[in-house]
Amino acid sequence: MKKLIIYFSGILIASTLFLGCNKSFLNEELKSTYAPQNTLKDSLGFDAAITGLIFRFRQQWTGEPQGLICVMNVGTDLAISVQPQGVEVPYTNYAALNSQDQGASVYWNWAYTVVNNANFIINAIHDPSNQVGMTATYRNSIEGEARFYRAWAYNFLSILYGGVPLIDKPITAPKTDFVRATPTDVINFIITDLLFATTNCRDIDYISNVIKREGRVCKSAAQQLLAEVYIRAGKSDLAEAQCKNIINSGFFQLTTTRYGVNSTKPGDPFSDMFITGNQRRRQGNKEAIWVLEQEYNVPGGAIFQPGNTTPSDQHRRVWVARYVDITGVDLSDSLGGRGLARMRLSNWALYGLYKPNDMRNSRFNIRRNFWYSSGPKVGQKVVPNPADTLYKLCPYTTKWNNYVAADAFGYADYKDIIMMRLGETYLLMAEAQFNQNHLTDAAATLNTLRARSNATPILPTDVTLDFILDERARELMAEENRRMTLVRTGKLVDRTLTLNSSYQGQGAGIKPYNMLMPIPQSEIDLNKNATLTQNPNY
Amino acid sequence: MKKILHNNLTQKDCVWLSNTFKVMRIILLLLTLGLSNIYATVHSQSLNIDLALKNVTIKQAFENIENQTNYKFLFRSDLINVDKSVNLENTGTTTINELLSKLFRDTNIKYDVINNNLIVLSPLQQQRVRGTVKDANTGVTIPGVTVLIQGTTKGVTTGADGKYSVDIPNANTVLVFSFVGYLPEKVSVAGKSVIDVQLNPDIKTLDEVVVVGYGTQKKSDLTGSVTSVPQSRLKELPVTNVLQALQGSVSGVSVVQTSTVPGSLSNVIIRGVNSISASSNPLYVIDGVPLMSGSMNDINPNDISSIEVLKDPSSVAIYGTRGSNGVILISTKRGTDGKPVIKYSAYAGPESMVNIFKPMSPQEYVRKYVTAMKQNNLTITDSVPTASEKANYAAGKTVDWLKEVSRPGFIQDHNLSISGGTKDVKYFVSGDILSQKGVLKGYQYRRISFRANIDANVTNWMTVGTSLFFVDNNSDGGHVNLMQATQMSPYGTEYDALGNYFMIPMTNQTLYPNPLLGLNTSVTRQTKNISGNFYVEIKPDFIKGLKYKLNAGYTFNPTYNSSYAGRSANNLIGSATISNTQNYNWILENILTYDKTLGKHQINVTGLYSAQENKTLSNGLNANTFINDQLTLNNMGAGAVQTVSSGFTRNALISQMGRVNYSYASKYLLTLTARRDGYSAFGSATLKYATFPSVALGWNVSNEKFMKQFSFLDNLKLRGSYGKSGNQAIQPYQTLSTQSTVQYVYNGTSATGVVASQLGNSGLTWETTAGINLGIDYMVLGGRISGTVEWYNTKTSDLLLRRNLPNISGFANIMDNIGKTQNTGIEISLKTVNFQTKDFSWETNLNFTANTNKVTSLYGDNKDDLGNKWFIGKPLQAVYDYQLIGIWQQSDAALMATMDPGAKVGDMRFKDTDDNKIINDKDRVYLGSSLPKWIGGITNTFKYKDFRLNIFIQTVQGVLKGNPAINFADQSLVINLPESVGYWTSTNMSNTSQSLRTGGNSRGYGYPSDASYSRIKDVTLSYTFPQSILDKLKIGGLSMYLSGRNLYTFTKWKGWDPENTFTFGYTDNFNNYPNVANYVFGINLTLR
Repeated sequence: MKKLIIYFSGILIASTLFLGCNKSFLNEELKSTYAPQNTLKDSLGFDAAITGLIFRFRQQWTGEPQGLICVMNVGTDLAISVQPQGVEVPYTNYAALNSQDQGASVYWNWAYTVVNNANFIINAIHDPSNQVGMTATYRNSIEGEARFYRAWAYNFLSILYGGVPLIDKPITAPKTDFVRATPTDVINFIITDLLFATTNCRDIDYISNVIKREGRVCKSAAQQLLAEVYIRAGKSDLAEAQCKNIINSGFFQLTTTRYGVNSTKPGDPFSDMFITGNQRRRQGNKEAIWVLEQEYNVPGGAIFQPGNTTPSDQHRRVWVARYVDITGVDLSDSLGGRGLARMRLSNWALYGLYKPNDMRNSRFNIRRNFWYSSGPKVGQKVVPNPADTLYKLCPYTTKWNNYVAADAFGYADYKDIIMMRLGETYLLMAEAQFNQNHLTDAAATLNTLRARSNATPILPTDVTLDFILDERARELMAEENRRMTLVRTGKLVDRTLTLNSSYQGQGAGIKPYNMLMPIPQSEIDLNKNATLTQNPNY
Repeated sequence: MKKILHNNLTQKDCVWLSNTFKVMRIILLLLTLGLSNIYATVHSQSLNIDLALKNVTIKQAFENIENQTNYKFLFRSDLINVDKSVNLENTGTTTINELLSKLFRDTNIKYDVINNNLIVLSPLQQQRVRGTVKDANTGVTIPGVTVLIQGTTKGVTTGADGKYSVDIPNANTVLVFSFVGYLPEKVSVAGKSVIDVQLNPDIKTLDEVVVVGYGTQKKSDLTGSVTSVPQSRLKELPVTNVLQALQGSVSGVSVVQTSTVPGSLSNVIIRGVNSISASSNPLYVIDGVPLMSGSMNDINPNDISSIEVLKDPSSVAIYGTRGSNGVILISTKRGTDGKPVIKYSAYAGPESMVNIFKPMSPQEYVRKYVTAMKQNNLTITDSVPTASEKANYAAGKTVDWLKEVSRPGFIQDHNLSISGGTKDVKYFVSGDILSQKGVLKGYQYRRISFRANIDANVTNWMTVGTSLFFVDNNSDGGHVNLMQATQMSPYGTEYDALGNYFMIPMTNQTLYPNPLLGLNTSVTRQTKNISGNFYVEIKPDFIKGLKYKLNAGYTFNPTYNSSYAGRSANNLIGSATISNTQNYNWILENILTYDKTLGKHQINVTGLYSAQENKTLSNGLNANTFINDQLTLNNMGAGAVQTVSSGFTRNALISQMGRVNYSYASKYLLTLTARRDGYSAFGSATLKYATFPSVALGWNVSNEKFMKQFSFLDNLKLRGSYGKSGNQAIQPYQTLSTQSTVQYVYNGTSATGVVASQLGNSGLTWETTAGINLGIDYMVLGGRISGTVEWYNTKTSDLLLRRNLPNISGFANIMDNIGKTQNTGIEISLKTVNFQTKDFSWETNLNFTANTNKVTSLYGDNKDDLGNKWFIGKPLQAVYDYQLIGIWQQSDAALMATMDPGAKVGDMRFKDTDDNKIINDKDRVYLGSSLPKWIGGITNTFKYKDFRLNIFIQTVQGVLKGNPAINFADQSLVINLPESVGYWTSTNMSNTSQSLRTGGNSRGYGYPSDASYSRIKDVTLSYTFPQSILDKLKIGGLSMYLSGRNLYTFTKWKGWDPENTFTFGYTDNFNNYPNVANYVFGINLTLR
């Protein structure tokens, strides 16, 4: 017995010693997480990384805080803040815009996250060990896409913040000595990326019909972005050429006839583009160049998460009026679901922008009137109390109307986001032509676009930068990041003061230095081994 | 002395007696003195007698003896019953003594043979002894002393005056006097009828054995800082886990209960925060086995026999990479040999909310709304914001939401344990059920636990044993939302016409649904822990002092959480989720010890080799869009949208440890230890192993000869130690760069993408804490004053830090070994017996801890890290913010326009600390830290007769925390606000609270506030039934108590509780819960 027990103990001791000697016992192996070195190896992995990149990109509109979309619109000529969520407040009261601004910080972080994910792809695809089984054409198209997103992010950053640190490789170790590149360097960097992208990205038919993933970036999208960047670089001739490439590609056409899910119901061709279910090329939208997709309650689309408003698109919340606060005006599809009217179109945009008969100002595109849907006055037109016209019954663009009965509260927005469409191509081309003083060409370009909306033709003498910016507002309000357009054209301060500074002094305090956002203070603080120069006056 | 005197007297008496033959005098004498000792002098002699008497009377026997010998019997017939029948066998040759002892064996007759032939009989009287028990030092009488007849369970206790009287069976009786805190005294009665006893205080608690890492040690031999938790903290307290009882009771240990939700756990920090990103939790070791999965909820406080806290670098060094946050050793109760002891303990009582943070009354709510509208330049059309409120406002109908979400709570615990055993097999088994009904509707906690601890000596050289337990923790239930309840309008609508919860009380303020809707959800939160520890201990007889122990432990720790919310909870499609986590953990330890004493040299050597592995598997199911709410969680396949997830993590540890304890003459003590650990989560590019050495010295000064002159000094010991320990407490896989998966849609169909998620750091290694500890243990005046003073200074380097990176990197942070912190502190514990009389005593236990934490280095360039709020020379958890000096008033508008142009009148006015006449981020300064400057606890115990009153007060001072409760302005148009915070208006012109303007806090000011507090933590009044009563009832022990907890809090904090972390925001936070006071009645019953 005694011997047996000693023998038994001996085995136990030996077994634990054996465990100690077994080197793999202390090794770590990733068993439930991917890593760049094992995904960025083949086409499936690179496709997944591109999908991840689009996901990150879409987060500009699907992250917190809700008021972020307002930052791009209030304190400009376009909109006033009526139910601020908080983050947009310094953009109505510019004196309060400081280096600890939340909006500036969120946008900055978002853009560099996109850059980083793009860098991982660009870096890995150049490694010969990762090129097995992929054609050069495929590899270049992947790299082109990644470079497109990187260019988009740097264009975003350099418009909003000026010259920013340029990172072209994934960071592998902590780095705290970033320095700002000059605006010119950044623009040249973007142009290099986009020239690669315009050369190597697939055209939209290939993406739609062969890859069958319409949300992927096509060559024309890269050309459109390049056109904008060429304008910034002072190369409007090259910009004009890029726009012509798109227009002449034959892939796209302005929407001039009714189509899609509501084509037999009241509406017009312009409003058809913004009906949920009509954004994608395969849904009949031939004007769209690049669309970010969302889908009700599909993983990756926009999962219905009660109690959780993030991560989800908040366009409807910030644009649609808070009509639900009016007794008798009920939540409905036709009114566009539940809105909070975080902002309201400026009086200039509502009452001074459109000439009569402009389709873009039709009742299908800007909701101005309301009718009772329940209660004693059902069916009657609502005569609003003047105070209620501020946000409860304010006129609003219907571009973000979206209603899903199961999500009456509207936790998420389930409508696709049109990133680029041919309408904007004409506007960019007109701008490029105007810059070259080709006013006749510019007028013709603008008239092509205006004709779709039944707007009266203009004369070459009518073409000014302000007119082009007005036309952009008419066409792209609530689609473009208005702030970026005005900063890019240098007109933010001027147009804000002249067109939209009468409401409670919002925007009235804007100073020329507010053209640029502050570099986030925390970035300056963390970047301790080099100085990240703050923009002036912050 | 008395005894000797008495013997002499007896001798004299005998001499005198032998010379006198006067029967009457003898009888008189015998009757007065008692016959006790006289027989001793009788010379025995042989006699031949033939007696074979069956069923004869004693009288008949006397006649027979008198006939056959020359002995005569002398007795008083009124005292001696000679008619009793006896049996005597055939005797033959015998002595008269043998004969008589047989004859009177079963009688109460006492005999004495006088002058060789006269047998004097007297009745054998039950003798009574009385006396007084006093303290040997003070002379004060001691009540409640147990006076036991040795060898029996019979006895009495001294009365309030210290007096006792006891019946003894015979003159040979030995009385045993015992009382807690005194050395037991044995006194032979030896014929005395008055025995006064003086008890000496038991100052030899120093011989107590305490549990240390991988073994036990005599308290007097300790060299490190090992604090035992007072026994009074381990019983008669209505706590759901033992950490709650620990709070404030042990110096150097800071326990913070961030939430009071039933079943929630506390954060424990021993001797300050070393680490920044890695866990600061101490290592818990249960019955010798390090706890790697499960929580302190899994250890039933009733099963705990002792808790020791290891604090200094030398005591924790033997736990290597897991030691630097301190170690808490918990021993559970084990069986002892003897009759089974059955114990039943229970308590029960109500709970109620305390520190209520009241929302505004209906009138104040309306005033606030109107003011907020005005201050936001909005046109006021109504007194209340929403349609449904208007109706209620018009009707004067209000709802007290706090009342609606709360209820009286109730807590109860029932524990039954049986322990006992033989010399070779001992057992302790227990079962317990704890149930806590929360003060908020829907909150509850129920725990069922079982334990079986068995020890068996298989042979004289081998012992085997087990510690097995099973715990079922259950916090099921959908619950109300406290935060939202405080935000609801008093004019909101609680119920619809059918009596169901009205979804949106302030229609159409849909962001704020009914705070009671959670009650319509079905939720489970279940954690079980099945643990088995097995040991084999072998003491080979061929090497004396050598011992080998094999410890094997296995824990299975599954967690099951699920929830279903459907239409009745304002979820229009129905959403279900189930998540399962399974944690498996095993450990194998080989421990070899060797003890040797050579004269005055004592040596003890311990060696360890161990391996441990921990695996976690998790999976989750989500589904939504159900046809209706009938099936809830039971058929998730019925949901139109289904998503799943799963995960796996593993970590492993291999360790070797050696320790030598040496002592010379119990005066000079030395401990040397070293541990080497290898951890899987480290060193993908560096070493996985680290070694942690330590040395400790002790000097029992009071054992020196030259100290004998200081008789008031009972004990004096000086200790010093230096050691290194580590912290490995980071998640596995931090050395690797990883990607997480995300989903996107193409043509409405899901596709999986990967995004960069973690920047790995292949050079990661453990953080190291090295430091010194100096301590003095003292005891004076016969134990009236005793205590410990300790000073320590520890430095932690290579901090495992989740260091924020510039977002330009694309990553927000990375785990890194950077920086150094330092903790310096002083700990004082003091025990005094302030007052002691026969009926009444008063004892005080006090502990005080002051810890200074500071960051001494960050990146080696002597620069602060503003982004992370780490400042060289300042403590961690720094509050770095503006200094609020008031509110901008209309009169200062001109100054405001230049100093803070973004501000409006009514906004917060900050100090221009750099005096550049403009308020900007440069004006932020270090204001304090959320780490307390000092903490303490004081326990006063009063005893009066069988009553004991225990009052425990706990304090935490010097805490500065951001107070989110004050940051409300951005929702002030919509929700109700706390009553006590207040706001600025153009007429009241507060200089402390800002206006209700949306966006009025554009600088992200965190409202730092003083969160210091003192709390009457618990008061217990107990009554122990005297043994004399219990003996009659055949009960081993019985006590009853009333105990109250969280009775009152002294604090300046505005909020639910300064200690709790309360999260603001409209999403549901399970941990938002008020602090509760409870009052319980308890009973402890022991059967033998």
